[in-house]
Amino acid sequence: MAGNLTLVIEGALLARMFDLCRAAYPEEACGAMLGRDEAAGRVVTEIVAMANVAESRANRFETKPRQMLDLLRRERESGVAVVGFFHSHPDHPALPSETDRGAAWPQYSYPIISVVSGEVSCWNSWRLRDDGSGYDAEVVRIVERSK
Amino acid sequence: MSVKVLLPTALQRYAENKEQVEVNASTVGEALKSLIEKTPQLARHLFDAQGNIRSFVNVYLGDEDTRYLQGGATPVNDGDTLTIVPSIAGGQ
Repeated sequence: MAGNLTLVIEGALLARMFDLCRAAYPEEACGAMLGRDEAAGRVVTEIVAMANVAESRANRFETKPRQMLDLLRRERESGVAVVGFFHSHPDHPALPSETDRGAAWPQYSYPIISVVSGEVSCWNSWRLRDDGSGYDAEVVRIVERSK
Repeated sequence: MSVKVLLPTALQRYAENKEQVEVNASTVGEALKSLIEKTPQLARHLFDAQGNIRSFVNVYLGDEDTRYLQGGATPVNDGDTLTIVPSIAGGQ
């Protein structure tokens, strides 16, 4: 995985991510990002919507293990890596909570999108430190088209 | 029994960047124990302080979630594939 904490994402993919988060409101949306790590940063090439199967979807998200298994198989077969997972915080800041920290895995990018009254308010992307002690914010570059 | 354990990209760096690790075991539990012996850095990501597999870790035997089989006691056969599947969860 790339050492620098830069996330590169096309505007069109970001728009899709926002659409999914707005559509799920007032529940939390979630999904995967596929892409690759390069010297310039982590490049996102695809957004995959995932079902939120948490009991309390207003403030929690949980994906189906079977859907993750399918993504990992696709990762092995295609060489396109699963690079992270996004989710939304309805009417709540785009900051990782203790719940987020406790469930996160190192190496993945975690965009969090704040959706307030049905509209995207702001977003940030985070990566869990290797020792699990906290998150580091990623620098986000929004590009017209990734190579 | 020779069993293949597949690791997600996120955990491969803790296994010398290997995508899969071959172990000898007769149950899922033995396979995971052998995996950790071969790649000790994986231990804290897969097991809690009491040595139990973390709730955010799913272990699939082929297409079956071993949590719904016999868990660590699930028998494995020669040539079987285990896949470590992280649970993705969180929330505000």
